[in-house]
Amino acid sequence: VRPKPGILSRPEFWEILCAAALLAWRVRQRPVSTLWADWLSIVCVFWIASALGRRWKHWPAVTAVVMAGLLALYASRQVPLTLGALGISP
Amino acid sequence: VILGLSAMAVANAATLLAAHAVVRKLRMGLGSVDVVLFLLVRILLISVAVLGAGLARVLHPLSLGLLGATTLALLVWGGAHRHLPSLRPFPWGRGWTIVGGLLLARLLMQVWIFAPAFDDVLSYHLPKVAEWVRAAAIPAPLGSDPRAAFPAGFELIETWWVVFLHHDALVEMAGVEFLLLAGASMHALATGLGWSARTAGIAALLFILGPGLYFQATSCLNDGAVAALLAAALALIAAGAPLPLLLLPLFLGAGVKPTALLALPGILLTAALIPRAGSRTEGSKGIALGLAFAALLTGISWYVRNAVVFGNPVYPMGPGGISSGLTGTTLQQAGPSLRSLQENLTAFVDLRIYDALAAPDGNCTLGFNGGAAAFALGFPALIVLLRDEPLFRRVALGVAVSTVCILACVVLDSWNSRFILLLTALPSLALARLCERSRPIAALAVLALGLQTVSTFVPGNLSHGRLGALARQPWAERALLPPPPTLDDGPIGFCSDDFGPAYPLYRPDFSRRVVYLREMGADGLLTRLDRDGVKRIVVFGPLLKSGPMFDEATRRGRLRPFEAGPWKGYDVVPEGSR
Repeated sequence: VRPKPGILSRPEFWEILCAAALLAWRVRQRPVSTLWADWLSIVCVFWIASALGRRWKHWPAVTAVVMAGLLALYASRQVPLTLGALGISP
Repeated sequence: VILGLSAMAVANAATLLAAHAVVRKLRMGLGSVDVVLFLLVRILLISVAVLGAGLARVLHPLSLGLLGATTLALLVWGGAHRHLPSLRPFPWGRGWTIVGGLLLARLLMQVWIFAPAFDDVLSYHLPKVAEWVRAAAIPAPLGSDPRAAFPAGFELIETWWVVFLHHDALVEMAGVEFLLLAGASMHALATGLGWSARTAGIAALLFILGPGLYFQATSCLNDGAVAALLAAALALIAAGAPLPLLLLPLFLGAGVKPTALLALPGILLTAALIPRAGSRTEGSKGIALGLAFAALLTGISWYVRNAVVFGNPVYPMGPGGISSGLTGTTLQQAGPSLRSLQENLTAFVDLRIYDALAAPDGNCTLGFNGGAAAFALGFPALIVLLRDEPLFRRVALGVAVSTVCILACVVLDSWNSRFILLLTALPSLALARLCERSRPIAALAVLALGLQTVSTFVPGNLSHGRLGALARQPWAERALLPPPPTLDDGPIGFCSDDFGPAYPLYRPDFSRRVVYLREMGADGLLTRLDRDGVKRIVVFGPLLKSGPMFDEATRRGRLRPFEAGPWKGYDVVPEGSR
């Protein structure tokens, strides 16, 4: 009988550790009130959550929601610039 | 023009048929990898032809046309044309044909209307091409900008597209060659990872529609070419290509820009992690070795030239890097620096990834210009994919190492995201793969691709009426910065202490000689002006070094200041007419 693998041998542990370290760096570097729109923080939270819950049946939907949110974040800032370049200033 | 067009058609037909014949002999037998090799061999053949003709001082339409005609005749005589693939029915399906056709038509329209615009391009990339075409040879660097001595592998392809017409209307086609290579490489890489043709097509589309890479293709800049060559190397690694073929894009990349060498550790890491289990090629090893050797000669020729002319193969890079001749600030550091890595990574995640400070352009001004798909979908998809796909993980590790190496070796400035355009390959691949598994994500990807398509119509540097102004100009005179008016077609002088747009002075048809004035005293300057028959001098920048020389010549009554639109300088007063 093989012993149960310890927590240190689980890849999820290291993933969460890496993502949490990056997130901690962002929290230290930027005002907390701006983190909701911070790309790296969002990606880190997504990374942690996906390491924990990727076998959850609703996880694909969560992924799509996160991506849609990031798309909205990108578009809200970038689309006005593109429209300006096209000569269609809002 | 008709003779030039005919020569261009024949020479292009010859390189296409020759590249096809060579790839057929290599017999990789892997669809999209063969396309990558075909494009690489074509680029190599063009490079060798232009470099050889330039060194032999016969770089003109007639000699290249005759060379093309002879090659074509020999190939047809040998029956090479009988093995061309049939394009009916289209092997890639109706949907992809329509999408690809529309994108290609838009790209060609942009090639036709856009004109060289970026400072680097006008200051030291294209003046080289203009000098080569005018001299029908590749002389030592003449420009006032020391960066004219940088490797010029990309300029060889640009020269191919201007030498036949003696005009720069099609100069952006060089970038198109590499954009096609980038797309084919991404397709081949995805295929090499064992993914479906549909996923590979989506990955290619996502990669080439990244605004930074896309606009590189129409901006006469060479970073997109480097990204394409590195992507080609990754595709060949994933396909298990033999070492000589793998060296082909790497040697070509070294000749295009040294950033290709900075990325090398990551590429080599991927090559080490993906074993070439029994080389798949059944073709001639001699041909593969010959291609690698030709690419090596093409790539290192610039370093050898610099070693001979300047005593330093990486001139103007010295032990302290490259400093501005004017301000003394470091333009390029020598070697890696943790501080640069930290600054570049911080700028990337704090600002550039959002593309929110400027509309996208080929220089990646103030942004990453990776596009909506990479930002919102691709990087999160990467997290998911890295867990499930061991082979992809090895590619991703290599690209990440390449990116870190480059960011550690370049000084933070507003445009250096263009050095890491290969990074967008990872989110492109990951998103394409995830689209297979999730319809909602595929729908979001379509939306993001739509945004990227819209954002790749007009680059930020040609916005605010500049593109309209270009479109309204007659094609033969199309230039973002039309040259200053002159009384005749005689030579025009140019002087800048550091960095200045000399290229427009040649005119789009390279009809004017530009005399670079490096003299440091009024006597020498006036002697040179009289000897070369220069009647107007354009100066650029504050002239901290050369200013006193011009002041003295003006005081003597031999120069008279002028200003015409964006240009300023001096008219030369003939001796004795004061």
